[in-house]
Parts: sequence; C-alpha cells; structure tokens
Amino acid sequence: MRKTITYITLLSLILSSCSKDDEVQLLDIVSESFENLYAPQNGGVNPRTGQFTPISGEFTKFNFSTGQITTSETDWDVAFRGTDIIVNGGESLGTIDEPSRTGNAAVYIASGTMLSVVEVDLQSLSQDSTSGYAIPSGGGNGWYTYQGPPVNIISPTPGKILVFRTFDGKYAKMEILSYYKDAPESPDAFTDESRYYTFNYEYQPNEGITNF
Amino acid sequence: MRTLKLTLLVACVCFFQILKAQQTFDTLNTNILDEVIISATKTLRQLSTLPLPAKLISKEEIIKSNSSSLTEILDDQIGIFIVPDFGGSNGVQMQGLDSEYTLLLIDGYPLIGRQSGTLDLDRISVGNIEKIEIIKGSSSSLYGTDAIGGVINLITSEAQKDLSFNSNYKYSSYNTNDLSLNLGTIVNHNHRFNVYLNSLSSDGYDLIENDLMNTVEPYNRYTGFIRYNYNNKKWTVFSSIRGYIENQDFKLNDNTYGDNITNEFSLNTSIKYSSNDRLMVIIDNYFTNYKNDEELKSNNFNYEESFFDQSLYKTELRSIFGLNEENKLTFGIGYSNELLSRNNFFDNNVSQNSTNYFIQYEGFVFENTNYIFGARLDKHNQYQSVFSPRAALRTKLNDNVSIKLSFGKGFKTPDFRELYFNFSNSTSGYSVIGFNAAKEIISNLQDLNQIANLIISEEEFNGNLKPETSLSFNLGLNYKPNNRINVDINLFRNQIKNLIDYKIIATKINGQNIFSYYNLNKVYTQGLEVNSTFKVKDNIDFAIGYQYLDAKDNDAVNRIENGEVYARISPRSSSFRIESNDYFGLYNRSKHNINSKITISSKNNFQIYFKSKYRSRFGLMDNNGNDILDNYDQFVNPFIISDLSISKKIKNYTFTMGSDNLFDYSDPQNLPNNPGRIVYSKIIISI
Repeated sequence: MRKTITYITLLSLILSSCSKDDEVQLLDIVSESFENLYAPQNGGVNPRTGQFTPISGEFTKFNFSTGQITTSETDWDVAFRGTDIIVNGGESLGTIDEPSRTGNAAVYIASGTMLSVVEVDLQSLSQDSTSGYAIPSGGGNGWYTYQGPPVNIISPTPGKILVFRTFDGKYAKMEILSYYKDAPESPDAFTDESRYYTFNYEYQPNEGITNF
Repeated sequence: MRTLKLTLLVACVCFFQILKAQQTFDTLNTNILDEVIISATKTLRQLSTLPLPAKLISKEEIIKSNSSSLTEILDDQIGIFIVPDFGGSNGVQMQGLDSEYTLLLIDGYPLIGRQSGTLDLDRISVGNIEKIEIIKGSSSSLYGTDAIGGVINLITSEAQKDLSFNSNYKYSSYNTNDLSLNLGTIVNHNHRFNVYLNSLSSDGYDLIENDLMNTVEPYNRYTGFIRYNYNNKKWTVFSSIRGYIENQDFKLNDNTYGDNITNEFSLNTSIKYSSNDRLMVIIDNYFTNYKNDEELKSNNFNYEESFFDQSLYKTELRSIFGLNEENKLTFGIGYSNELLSRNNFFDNNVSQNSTNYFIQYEGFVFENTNYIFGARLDKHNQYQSVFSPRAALRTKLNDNVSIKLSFGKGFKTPDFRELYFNFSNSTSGYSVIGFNAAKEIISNLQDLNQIANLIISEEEFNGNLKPETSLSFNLGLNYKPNNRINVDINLFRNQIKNLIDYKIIATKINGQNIFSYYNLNKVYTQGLEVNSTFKVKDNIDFAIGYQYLDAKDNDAVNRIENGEVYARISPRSSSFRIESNDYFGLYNRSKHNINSKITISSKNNFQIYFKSKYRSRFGLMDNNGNDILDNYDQFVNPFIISDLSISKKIKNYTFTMGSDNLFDYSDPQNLPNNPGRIVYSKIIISI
C-alpha cells in the first residue's frame, strides 16, 4: 500500500512537471530587419577644404525589444552616428554630444553569418570605454570596409555579425547590410545618400538565454 | 672595397687569358644567322638558342603597328596588358605582374619616374626604335631591382648608310599630330650619328561628360634623341642624350585651372674595349633625371602644387671572357645612386645607393644544349643585401623541337614612397605614411593628442622594410616543323614574397585611419603562353597568341580554405561563406587573352594589316567589402578590339590609312585609356 502511494506521488510529480500549464512560457525570438536608420553627424573632415572639425550631433539610438528608434536617455541598446556605433554600457569616449551610458549593454563582432552565429560567446563581450568604442572605428577595423578613391564606398564587411547584450541583459545579433539610403544595389558615394543603416537583427527576448 | 674587387677582376682576366690563350672569340664577327638579342645576357646572343623566354619586336612590326607611343605596340603583344593607374599613367602588366615589377630600358639603361609605382609608357615614342627586346621571368641576376616580371629593352637605331633621312607624319582623331624626323650619317667610316626628333600633340578626349576634368587633357610632347657611335677594331664608344618635355594644361572650371609639366633628361656613355678577340671590357655610365610639376590654381592663389624630381646615376664595369668559341664568362660590378625630392614627403630630399657584383657563365655542351648560370649580389645602404641567382638550360630534342627551362630569383627594393610618404587625403582625412617616417610622425601626432588608437605596437616601427622577392620558373617548348610554322609554348610561375602593402597602424581622433607600408603578402602568378606564326602563303602571314593567367594572393587562398571569407550578393541579402572556386584572383587580371595578326602584302607594295585582341573579364575592385575579388563582385565585360591599316609604298613614300579600335568598343568607367575608334592617316618619307 505504501508502495502504491509512493508510486502515485511520483507519478503525479512527473505529470505535474510535464504539464504545460506550469512551464515558464518562452517568448519567440524576434527576427526582423530595419531599413534606413538615419545616423547623421556634424563636423568631421570638410570635403572641400580638408579641414577637420570635431564630430558632433546626436546619436540615433535603437532599442531591440521595441524594434524602434528611441530618444530615451536610458532605454536604448545601440546608437549610431556616421560610421560610429556605440552601446549603452561602459564609459563615454567623451566626444561632443555623446550620450552617457546608463545600461549594461556590451558587444563583440563575430565572424560568420546570421545562421551560423547561434550562441553568444560571453567572454568576447566588451563595453565602450574612455579609450575607444567596443566596435572599433575606421574602415577595416570594425564593421565596414572602406574602399578608397576614386569610389570612396563604405561597404559593411560580409561575415561580420555584431552580437549584443542589451542594456537590460538580454541578447541580440545584427548584420549590417548597407550604409546608403534604400540599400542600393551598387551604391555610388557621390549620388547616394550615406549614413542610412539597413540591417537584419534577431532579438532573444528571454532573460538569460544565450542562444538564438 | 671597390679597389679590391677591381684587383680581383684583373686577376681573373689574366687567369683566363693564360688558360684560353689559343682560343678565339668575337661576338661581333660571329656569323649571325638569325636575330640577336642583347638584353637576356648582356652579351650578344642568337635568339634561337637562348634558354630564356624572350621575344623580339622588329622594326618592321613597329612600323606596321603605326603606334605613336610604346603603350600601343606593347599592348599588341600576347600576355602584355597596358593598365592605367589612378594618376592616368599607363603601365605594363607582364606575366600577371604590375608595372612596378618590370624593368624598362632604353639601350640597356633604365627609365625612371615611377611616381606611384607605374612607369608611364605613353611618354616613349618609338620612331627611333630599331627593335624591342622582351625577356620574361626574373632577370635580377643581371639587372638587380625591379626585374621580377622581366625586362623590356628598346634598342635605338644606328646609322647604317652614309646619309639617311626618314620622316613621318601621322594625323589621327582628336586632332592628334605626330611628326618625327630621323637623320643618320656615317662620317669617316667610324663615326655614326643619329638625330631623332618627335613632336606629338593632341586635344585629348573626354569619356565622361559631367565630371570636372577631361579623361585625357590636351597635351604636347617633344622628344629629342642624339646618339653617337665610334667603332674601330679594339674600341667602341656609344653615347646618347635623350630629352623629353610634356606639357598639359587643364581647366576644372572658369576659376580653377592648372598645368602639368614633365621634363626628362638622360645621358649615357659606354666604352668597350676588345682585346685579341677573347676579352671584352665595357664601362657604362648613365645619368637620368625625371621631373614632374603639377599646379592647380584658383584665380589668385595656388590651390594645390605638387612636384616630383628624381635622379639616377649608374655605372657598371663588365668583363666578358670568351673561353672558347661559344662559352663566355661575364663579371660585372656596378654602383648606383638615386635621389628624390617630392611633395608629401617626410624628408624633402631622400637618397639611396647600392653596389652590385654579378657573374654569369654561358656554356654550350654537346651539339644541342646550352645553359646559363648567373648570380648577382646587391648591397644596399637601406636594406639587407639581396642575392639573385639564375639558371637556364636549353636543349634541342630534334630538328623541330627544343625545350628550355629557367629558374631565377628576383627582387624589388621598396620605393621611396613606401619609406618616406607623408600624405593626408584632403577629402576624407585618412593618412598614408612611409615605413621609415612612421615612428617620428606617430610620436609627433601623439604629442599633439591626435591619435585615438595605436593599432600596432611601437616595436613594429623598428627595423627595415625588406625588399620584395620572387622566384620565377619558366618551361618552354619551341616547335618549328618547317620554315612556315613556328610555335612557342611557355609555362610560367612567379611566386612573390614580402609583397609590400599598406595596413592600418593607428586611428586618428577624427575617426580616420593612418596607414603605413609593411611586408605583408605573398602572391603568385602562373600561366601558359602560346605564340605561333604561320606563313600561310608567300604574301600572307598569320600570327596568333594565347595566354592563360592565374594570379592570386596566397593568403586570400588560405583564408578562403579556412572558411574565413564571406560575401554578399546584394545589399539586401545576408552574407554567406565563399568557396575556393569563388575566388577570382588579383585585380585587373584577365584569365584569357588572345591576339591575332594577319598581314597580306601584294607585289606592288600594297599591304593590309589586321589585328585583334581579346581580353576576358576582369575585376577592378571589391564591391562587397571582403577585400578580395570574388565571383560576386562586379566585373569588366570581356572585349575584343580590332585594328586595321592599309598602306601603299611608292618609291620613297609610304602612305597609310587605318583605324584603331575599328568597331568602336569603349567602356568609359573601366577603361579610361581607351578613347574609342581612332582614324588616322600617315605618310613616311625615307631617303
């Protein structure tokens, strides 16, 4: 008799643990693309005179969980200005108009494709600092390749996937596709407007889950 | 040191004189049954027995091509491409190697003025050229630096008659006027003088209407050349002076205009002493200066000014010993000094010098075989010494077939730009600095707090940039079944190490990069070249050539094999990993090249010459950001260009009419050096 009761208890335990009603509901991974995120800047090198004035202007901030541009000073994950990309984590480099970091976002650049990067390598994540951004600036260093004169084209380097921890500790990955408005087939630096990001991203909305 | 070497040389002279006292040798008196070539060995050789891959372009072919400059005549050769660089210079690509890796000589003396590496061939007029010798594969064992892909030597004409006069005038599209005068005379049997004058002017052309400048701005070019020869039994003196002036005015708009002036001057003397038919001693001296100034002015002030002023002095002593009728031993020692002053340089005046020693043995064994061993040591004040050996063998298998095999090491020392450049792009703000200047420039910028990020460590600034080195291999086969057919096949491979390229060394606070030069890459070029000529009938000659070329960066090959390279088909699609066969190779290289030439002559001095060249597709840039040229990038379409000319000789006059690029192929974006169809007429007077 005792044995039977034990069995029933065990059985009910097993049954209850298998029951869908009690399981934590996992949210679906968000897989989206965003077109023409405009990231203007002021200053830089004047193409006419060659004079350099310090770069300034608001960064365009993006929030993965809403999938939208935001002006919030705290609830943003990543922000863009010209070719510079910053995250909401770490320290400010101290450029003009650079927002202060309020969250715990971080980033690294993985080699691969959106399909092949399936696991976040936590060791590789780094944050912005007073000596440089986590995504290095300059062509060939970070997310893009600069093709010099005479074409002066900025192409997102294929095979570079930006893997993020969001400001509130979730994970996302991004592939930048184009730096020119409406992602033209063969961009022309002289006629196509630049500083318009088009990118694919996947957002893992579930706390603590590091794969996609 | 030099005295010691001289003493050694003299000792050798004595030794070989004793050893071979009974044997006779005189290259000049050898019965020359066929064409001779000097550039391959620095001794006179019969082309037919030479164990190295070589080609001669005869005077007849030069005249037939109606070229105004060297670019056009070289472009007609199989495996040679004329490639424009961004500065508008047209350089030569041979065995898949860039212009920087081919040495260009006039009568054995090198041309200078490689402002951005490319040696512009448009400035060489060919009206006084007797023949062009082309040696493919490394010749650094004789010539030292730059002779990696080969050597192109232009031999100028020497007076053959007491008095000769030749003049030609060619008028062609874009108001291009080409006028040449050639005067030759022999005085007292021994003194030969030649004077050559050329004037070439053109309105230039514009392929892209809505940009600021013309594709080729109007120009005037003047060449003057005087040569003098003296011969007697023992002594030969050869001396020449060459001058060149080029003037180009251009206008960007009503307020902004400029000009570009090139001045070139060279002078050489060569004294040869031949003693009792066995020994020959030659002393060469050469000086050349190349100057280019460009000014861009806005109404009242100078907007931009650039200058480039390069000089080269070279001297060389060669002793050639005839060990018997055919075998020859050559010793040489040489010195060269190069100076450069140019804008955007860390140091206003830079110089370098080098001494070299070379030895070469040309041997003939059995009835059918000959070989060459040679080596050269270059000691340089800026780089480590370079040793360049070469070995070549030719053997005749039967009356119709012979094979040749050669190996050689080649090198190219870093040019001044790679050492001392100090350039900042005014539009986008990046900088390029030379290796030797990098340490000081970076530390100055650090003091000014201009450096955001130092990417390489400070130790990497120490030491020297190394010369680029190559190993070249050629395997050739000649098949000549009869006097009407000749087929040459050559397999080649060049493996280049320590290729100098730029990489990012720091980023500036403006977010832009600073680049400097390093020994970075390894590349190879390999392929197959076929040249064949057929005498179809007595009055019909047909020639066809083909080159297959595979030119790749070894590191890119490895990176692709390791799955580290990705591509993207369009900016709307995700990237993917590329396969080995997606890698196309180096920029501006076509895999296939075919040339054909047909000449039909009639008895009454009437001639038709029709030639075509085909170039398969090639890529000029990486469009998808992975830094290599892959099948997903954009390519320049394959094309065929055909030229036709018709000429008629009446007594001392030859009248020619013709059209280059008869079918008017053009691709303004990718082929700025192709103006489209050109129509011309020409008259030659020879007395």
